[in-house]
Amino acid sequence: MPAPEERDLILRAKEGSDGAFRLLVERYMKRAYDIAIHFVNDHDDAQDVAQEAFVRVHRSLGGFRGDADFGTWLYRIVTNLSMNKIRSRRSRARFEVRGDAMIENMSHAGSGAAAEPDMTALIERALHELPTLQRAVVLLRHLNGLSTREVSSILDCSEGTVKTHLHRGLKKMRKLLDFVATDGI
Amino acid sequence: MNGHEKIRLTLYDYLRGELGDEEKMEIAAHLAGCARCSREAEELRDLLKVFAAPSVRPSDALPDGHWKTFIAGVERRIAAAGRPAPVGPVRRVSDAVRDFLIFRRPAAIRSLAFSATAAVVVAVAVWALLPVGGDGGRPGVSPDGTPESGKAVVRGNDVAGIPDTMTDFDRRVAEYFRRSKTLLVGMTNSVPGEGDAHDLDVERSASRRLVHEARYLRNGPVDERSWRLMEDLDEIMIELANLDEGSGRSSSVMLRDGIKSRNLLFKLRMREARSAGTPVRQAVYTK
Repeated sequence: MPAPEERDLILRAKEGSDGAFRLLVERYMKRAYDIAIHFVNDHDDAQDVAQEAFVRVHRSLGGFRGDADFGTWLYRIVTNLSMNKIRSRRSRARFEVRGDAMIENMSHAGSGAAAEPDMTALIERALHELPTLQRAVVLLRHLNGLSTREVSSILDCSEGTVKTHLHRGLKKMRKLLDFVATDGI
Repeated sequence: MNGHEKIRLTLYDYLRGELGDEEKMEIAAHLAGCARCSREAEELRDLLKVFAAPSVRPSDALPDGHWKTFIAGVERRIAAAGRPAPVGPVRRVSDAVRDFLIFRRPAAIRSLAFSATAAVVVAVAVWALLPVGGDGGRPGVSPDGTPESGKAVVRGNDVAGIPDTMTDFDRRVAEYFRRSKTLLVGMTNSVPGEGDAHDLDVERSASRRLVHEARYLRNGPVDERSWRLMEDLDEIMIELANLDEGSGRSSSVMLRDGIKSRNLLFKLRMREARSAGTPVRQAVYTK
């Protein structure tokens, strides 16, 4: 349930107040962007997702009953849009992967020494390996610092499910990054 | 769920210091006596060392000016997509005045203009829809959005149908598709040369009008296929409406590709053929 002051903002935005809606955007835009960037890992895509989420909120505000938290509603839209963005990127990548692999092979063949493993890239790859829901939970709970309850509301599942996905997701990441942790890179 | 499993699911909260004293002590006691859970805790601690939550949020790294652009972008997109149906018939004047006094003035001036326009439109609409002999409502469409009996309605899915018997609403739908087609044909045929700036002012304003029109039509009694086609067209129209001034060749090429990849012209011709009662085969294969 939103705080009274926020409820007033939402009500005024529902009635068509541009100023009230603008205040809501100002209040939530950074968090929306943070959530999106952790998913899509690209500034332009994250900005696109966050802006589109606000457009959708604006469009559907008339149907927002106010019994749920506004932030949770917005973050759910951001999460869904981010996952759609990743999906569409993957389907595009299917056609591009052959070319990328060729370029990568050529550049490896050209350089004599093996490249230093980049930790960020390794973590990114490990995250990428996780099933969708596990990845969503890890990103929302761990990287965005949302509470278990918030994540459960965003993903529309129980808190127990969030804990299970987080546990399994991190365990899988530990396995995938095993050599990193033990070698102390 | 056994005790070990329950402990393992709570390890993350424990290591992050998010548990209350009682739970913390309970887990510490369990770990002291359980080698397997203790090993899991160690492994998770190792992982969290390399996979730490960021201390600085990505948004904090962006300059303040960026967020002004962000808000402007949201407002531009909303304007391009058209305003949602307001809750009441006319926006509260007090809100518009408050916006004017407190928030960004250009937006507030737009709000006042919008309120005034809305009031005029509502007044004209009420006058126009006053019952003359019947019970009023939009011609050919009953208040609940279903076609009135006794009036022929051409549906997008109907192959047989004569345009003269269309309702006003269907005629408006047909006009929307005709204008969209004209615009898209123009876009596909006029891609500028490399490095040339392309003046798309006319196209942009036409696409904005079409976006607004589609928004109205999609709330009316339109068949599903036409509704989907409007949705497809909307995506392109919004992109077009949002193009920067003096956009070059790449933007026009991207738009043209979008039109082609969605088969929009083909779908528009198919729809025209259905509405006009022309056999589809003839419409498709005849140039």
